Amino acid sequence: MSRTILQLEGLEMAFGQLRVLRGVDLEVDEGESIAIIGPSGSGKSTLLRCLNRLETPTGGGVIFEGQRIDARTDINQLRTRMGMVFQQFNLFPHMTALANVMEAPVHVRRIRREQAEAEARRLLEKVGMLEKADSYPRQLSGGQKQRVAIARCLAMQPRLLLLDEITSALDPELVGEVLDVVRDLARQGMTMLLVTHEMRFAREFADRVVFMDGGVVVEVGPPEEIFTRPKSERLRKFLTAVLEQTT
Amino acid sequence: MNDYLQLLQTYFPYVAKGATITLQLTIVALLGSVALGLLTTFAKLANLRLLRVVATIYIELIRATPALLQLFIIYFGLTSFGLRLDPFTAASITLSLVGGAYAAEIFRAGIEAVDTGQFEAARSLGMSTPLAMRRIILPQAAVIILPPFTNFVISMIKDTSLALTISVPEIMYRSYDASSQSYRSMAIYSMAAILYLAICLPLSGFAKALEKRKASR
Ligand SMILES: Nc1ncnc2c1ncn2[C@@H]1O[C@H](COP(=O)(O)OP(=O)(O)OP(=O)(O)O)[C@@H](O)[C@H]1O
Ligand SMILES: [Mg+2]
Repeated sequence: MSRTILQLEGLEMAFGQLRVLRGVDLEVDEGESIAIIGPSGSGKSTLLRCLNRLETPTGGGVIFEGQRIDARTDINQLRTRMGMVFQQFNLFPHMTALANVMEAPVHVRRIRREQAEAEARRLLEKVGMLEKADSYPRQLSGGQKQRVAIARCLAMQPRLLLLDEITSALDPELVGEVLDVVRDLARQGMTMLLVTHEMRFAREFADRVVFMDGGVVVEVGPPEEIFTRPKSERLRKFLTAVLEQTT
Repeated sequence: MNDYLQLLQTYFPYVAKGATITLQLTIVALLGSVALGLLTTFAKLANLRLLRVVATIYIELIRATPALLQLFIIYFGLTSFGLRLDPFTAASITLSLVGGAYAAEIFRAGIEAVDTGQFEAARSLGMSTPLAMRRIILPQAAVIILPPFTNFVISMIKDTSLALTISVPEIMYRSYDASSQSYRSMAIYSMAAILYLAICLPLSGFAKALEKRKASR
């Protein structure tokens, strides 16, 4: 029986009058890979941003690793346990790939430079970027940047990874190399919440798929069920629309 | 021609000596401006509303009044409160106050020009706001700020000439003095012009080179 690592209880987020999340309930087990799909504007990015507190939710609760996140939670500490990878990579342009990966371990975890460097090189190797350790972000392709960004995230040894459309800014031929890295991480038991528009990847990669629409979770289930036997009308419509787009 | 050489011989050392004072005043005023500018920038970015309001009032007050008026208030005005500053100090304080307001705007624009994703990435790695500022945002902002800041230094050098009005013996004061003694205004003021050009043109070239480098990146 696997352990619950993350639990959302009626999570709500409003920007002024605009209610973007209207009570999201979800439980995630340790080691699970979850794909989040849904139409544009359904609140997928907002959900991830609420989890690591880049936005402060306006209602509901989050329990992460057995601890309820509230006003007393040390947010910086929480963020070291919850890595986030962005669509736009957001690598630090004034640092080499290696320095990008070493930055947080040295300055946040405060581990020794030599140790941080050895660890950073190991992670760069893991994402196939060791030869580019001394390159600056502007010298890298989109796919390479995203792989470095993943290594930078892993360097904090997070217990949960939040990935928001990490291949959407990439040329099609570069998507594969990034997804390979994600697939590897899933195999090694990393817990992941991955927002994606790549239905084929969601289907193949995820243990469970979450379909969001209008700020709530409409359906959750194993990929087979979600993609072949959708229960709700809304999911059926969404899948039809997506299929039309890609074919 | 001979006559001009003689004039040069008599007055150039005197006027050129003013360049030292001009540069001293510039350096002191720049240090003051940067310190005040940074304080004001962080006040404007602060969570505390009071700090933001104070910073905004300061910037608006400075920008909406002539520097010469501010200089007279500091040098002559404050004597009504029994505060008598020597001219160099009064000029340093005034130029720091003026410079601080303009520098704050340059700094703020530079910080805001750094992509917000950079701050979010830093925060999502567990960095505190000050750490993210110091390690991630400010180094990138500095590159953006450098060209406008160089232009700011040039205006500061020229603005020190205001100190003539309260008898700080900088370039302008001395050339005014020399021209009223010699009745050779054109010749004397040309010397002053050459001194300012010699200081400012290289800086201006430096700023242009920086902008070009940035554009080509
Ligand atoms: N900071 C903000 N302020 C105001 N409104 C916001 C903010 N962030 C997001 N929103 C709004 O919240 C809604 C949901 O946005 P969100 O980015 O979470 O959607 P999404 O499901 O990720 O969409 P997409 O697939 O296009 O990325 C949108 O209507 C968006 O305009
Ligand atoms: Mg999104």
